[in-house]
This record gives sequence, structure tokens and C-alpha cells, in this order.
Amino acid sequence: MDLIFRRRAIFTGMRPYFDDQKLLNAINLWQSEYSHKPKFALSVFVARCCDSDLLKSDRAKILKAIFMALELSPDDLLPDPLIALKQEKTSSAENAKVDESHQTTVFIKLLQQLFAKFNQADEKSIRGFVIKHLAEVKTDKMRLMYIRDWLNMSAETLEGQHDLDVLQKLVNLCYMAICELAGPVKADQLLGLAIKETEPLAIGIGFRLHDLL
Amino acid sequence: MLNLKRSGLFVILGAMCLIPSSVFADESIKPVVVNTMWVLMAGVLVFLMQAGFALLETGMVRSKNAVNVMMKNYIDLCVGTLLFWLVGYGLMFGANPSGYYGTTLFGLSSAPDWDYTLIFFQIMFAATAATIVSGAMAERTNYIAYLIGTCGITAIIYPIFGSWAWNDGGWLKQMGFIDFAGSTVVHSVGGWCALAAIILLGPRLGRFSDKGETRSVPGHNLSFIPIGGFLLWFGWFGFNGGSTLAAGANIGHILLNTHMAGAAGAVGAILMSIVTRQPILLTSTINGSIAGLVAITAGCASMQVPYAILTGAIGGSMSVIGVMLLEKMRLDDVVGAVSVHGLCGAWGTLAAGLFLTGNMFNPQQIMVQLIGIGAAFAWVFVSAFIMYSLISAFFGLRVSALHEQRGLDITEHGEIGYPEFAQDAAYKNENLKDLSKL
Repeated sequence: MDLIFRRRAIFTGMRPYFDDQKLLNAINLWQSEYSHKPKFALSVFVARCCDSDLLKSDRAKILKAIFMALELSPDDLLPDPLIALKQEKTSSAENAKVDESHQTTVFIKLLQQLFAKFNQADEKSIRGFVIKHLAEVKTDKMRLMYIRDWLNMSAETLEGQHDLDVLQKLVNLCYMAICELAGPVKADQLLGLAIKETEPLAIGIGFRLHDLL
Repeated sequence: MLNLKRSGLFVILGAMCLIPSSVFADESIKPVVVNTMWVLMAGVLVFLMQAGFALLETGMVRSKNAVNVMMKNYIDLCVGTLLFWLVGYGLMFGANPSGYYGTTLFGLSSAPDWDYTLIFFQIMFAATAATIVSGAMAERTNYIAYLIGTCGITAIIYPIFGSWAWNDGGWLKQMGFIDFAGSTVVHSVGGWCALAAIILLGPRLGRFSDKGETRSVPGHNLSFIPIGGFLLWFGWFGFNGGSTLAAGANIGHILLNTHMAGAAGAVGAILMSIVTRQPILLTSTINGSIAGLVAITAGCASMQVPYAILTGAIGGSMSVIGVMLLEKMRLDDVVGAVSVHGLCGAWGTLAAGLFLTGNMFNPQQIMVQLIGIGAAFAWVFVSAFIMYSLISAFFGLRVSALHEQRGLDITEHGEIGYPEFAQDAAYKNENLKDLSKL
């Protein structure tokens, strides 16, 4: 495997867990110290990169994501990070302040509250509708894979950190699905109710719930 | 009680003493003054119809779109007024040698007094044609795109057809087409524009399910609807009565026909609801009366009272069937404008030929009426379809699903119609500052 392919694969696998600056540092570290080492050295590399409690708890998942990415075809990988990271530098500075883990937590709670209003068959059809329209969600393939896994209940939790735009679009797709399933009036009522039920959590962790809406 | 009556009498007598005696003594008041007074009063009544449309349409939409519908009704009057004065009036009533459009009187700034009166009255008609469209397109239309459409209707689509039917040189008028106050010229024009728009827009989210189920989307304030209906009905006396353009003795007949048809329309709608085993809805009853009024508009000056009743009753019945038909075709007309104004306008125009006093069921007249109805549909529907297609391509006619989720009050105007009451709503006033810009 050539260097660029491996760099792209590691970037793709790690992207959902790290902010731009940390990711750039990690890629630099891999390139200078691990790029010439065998695959199993990646576990040491990941361990060195996971310097916070949150990342440490995700270490196994990050490693698994990197190995999965190494199996993907080049078309499914993100572009070379050395170029992409430079392009994203501006937007990352703006987004750095937002704690992405909070928005994902609140998003999950909001959708769980929405799903809880339906029986199993209807919930499945709502999830199915969102999966069917995932092409409309603008994010990288790895994150889309995580979202798909979570929606079709292959994964218990939604992996990775996701941009607000992505989460907002997913809530909107859910709303559209409920409109289709139960009608627009019911959809408005249920969304209002789910927001009310999720608000205490959002207030508790200091995240503005309406950023998702 | 007696004291109250007495004091009232004294007030009236006192007021009469303040009026200069010359007013009563002058028996040489020119007819043009009286005519002007009547037509202006009628124009003012027609203006009030805008409030009627605004209330009726707002009552029929969800609370999250109430401000948007009010705004559309308000601003289409303003935009329509300016454009009709600038372009529309000239196209409609200017010298018309070709028979297809007027070529003078654009942006009239200096004219005989009577022309000002006519422009004022006709502006109200143009605004009515434009505002019919707003209700049909409610809850999913880009505000700016809607306004551009209004410009097209008041500046081009409405006046061009108006020049055919109401301009002395118009080809339809010369054929003997009867449309006294505008069943077709005003109402069908609005209705067919609405039809083109809703075909291009598509239904609101969830209005029709994938399984073919039709879901009703009840309006947020049903009390607005009858108030809107009453205001429209009231304004209609000016709409039809003023179309005499003279304070003649026939106004009583015209207003009686108008009133009877409105009443019969409501009854017709109720009967049709019973026959088709539909619930007798407030909305369909009010729409029925408006359909009756739309239908009598063409022939209110030229048919006997019993036929006015029949015309109104059939119009009211048609409004119920029309709504059902559109739903079957999965066309989402929020307020039933296509049915009430488009279909019933066409029916009323035909009825004006069928029940023409002294010349009933004349095949020649009926043929002329049918040509006029067909020409209106062909011109208005095709031109509106092209116009809205272009608007859709360049500006985007329909808002995004996220706009629909938030409601157009927030996304198009940045405010909420009922900030104090919607406690369980997804979006409250305090959330507005946090919402991302779309």
C-alpha cells in the first residue's frame, strides 16, 4: 500500500473522533514515526493520540475504524488530509468552540424521544425513510456509515462526532418521515413534544437544542 | 328607551342643520359626481375584500404560517396596486386596435377625473385576482418568488385577458362575451394562476401519503374563516354593484342577485356535502357562499333572481366537488381557490349566457361564453405555468423541507404569529435568536 493511500485511510478512520488540529498532529505523528512500521504498530499510535478521557474510551473504536478504512477502496476514502486539512482550517476555527459530543448527545436524545412516540413498525419505517434519504446528507462516507448503522440499529450508539448541519438535516429527515407517516399536524405536535422532553438534558449540558432545528 | 330615541333624533336633526342648505337646494348635481361617488364607494368596499381574503386564508393555515399568509395578502395589494397603475391599466384599458392588448394609459399621471375613478376601482379588481393565488400556494412558497408571481399577474396576465373581455376593442368583447363584474376576468384568472402554481409547487409535506391517503391539515383558527367570509360578502356588493360604473336604478337588482347567490352557494355546498356523505364543514360552507358569489359575478346584472339563486347554488355545490376532485388528483390547494374561483368562475360565466334575461339558452351566446372561458384558461394557465416555471428555475418557488418544518413565519419573516400562546410548539419566540439562518 502506498503512503498516500494509508494516510488517507488513517485520516478517514480517525476523522469522526478528532478535531482538525488534533487530527493534523496525529497525521504528522503517524507519518514521522509509524508510516514505515507494520500494521500492529497502529495500536500504539492510536494510544498515543488518545490523550483525553473521552478519546481513551473510544480507543478501540478508533482503531477498528482505521482498520475498516484500510479495507475500503480509494474512491471511498476522504481526500489526502494534507490538502483537506488546509482547506478546512478556517471553518474549524469557528467550530472549535462547540463541544461536538454535546450536540450529538442531545441529537440522539431528541430522536429517541421522537421514535418513542411510535410503535416498533412505525419507528422502523421512519428510520427506513431517513436511511433512504441519507444521500441528501452532506458528510464523509465514514460518518454516513456510522449514521446508517445507528439508524438501522446495527450499532447501539451513534459513533463519531457530527457537524450541526448534518444533525439538523437528520432531524429534518425524521420530521419529513413523520409527516409522511402521521401527517403534518401530528408531526408538528410530536416534534414539539420531543423538544420539550429533550430540553432538560440540553440545558443541563449547556447546549442550545434549537441549533439542531 | 324613548329618551334614547328622542336624543338620537335630535343628533340627526342637529347634524342636518350643520349641512349647508345649498346641498339640498342644488338640484343640478352632475350625474358624473354621483357616479364617481358610487364607484369610489364601491372601490372602497372591494378594498375591504382584501381583509376578507387575509382572514379567510390565514384561518385555514397552521399557526406557524399565519404571519406569512397575512403578509402575502397585504403585500400583494401593495405591489399589485403599483404595477397595475404603471403597466396593467394601460394594457387592459388603453387604446386596443389589435383586440389583444391596450397600448396607452401607462403610468397615468394626468387625466380627466373620471379616469382616476376608474383606475382606483380597477386597481382593487387587479389586487383581488392576485390575492386569490396566495391561499392556494400557502405554507410552502418562497415569499419573494410569490411576490414576483404577483407582479406577473397584475402587470401582464390579468390585464391582457382583461383587455380581451372588458376593453371596448377587445376581441372577446366584440364577440358579445358577457362577464359583467369578472367571474372569469377576475376570479377564474386568479383560480387558473393558482392551479398552475400548485401543480409546480407540489403538495405540503405529508398532505398525501405514499399509500394514496389524503390527510386534512386543519387551519389554526376557524373563527377567522367566517369573519373573512362575511367581509368578502360585504365587499362583493361593491365588486358587483360598482361594476355598473354608474349610480343607476339597477343596482338594487344586482345587489339582490349577488346576495341571493351567496346564500344559495352556502346552501348548495351543504346539500352537496350531505349527498356525497361528507361532513358539513365550516370551511366548505363558507367556501360555498363565496363560490356562489363568484358564480353570480358574471351575470348579476343580466339574469332574474331565481336564476341567480340557481347559479349560486350550483356554484356552491361545484366548490365541494372541485375540492374533492383536486384531492383525488393529489393537488394541494390549501384554501380551495382553484375550485371556488377557477371552476365556479367558469360556471358563472357560462350561466351568464345560459340565463341571459330575454335571450335565455341562446346557443350563439353560450358558444361565445364557452370561447371566453376556454380562452381564459388557455392564456392564463399556460402563461402562469411558464411564469412560475421560470420563477422556480431562477429563484426557487418552493421552500426547503426545513423551512416547512420551522414554518414560514420564522423562515420568511423572522417572527412568530402567536408568541404568547404556543407553549407546546416546536419553535417559540425565545428560540428565534438561536436558529441558524437558512
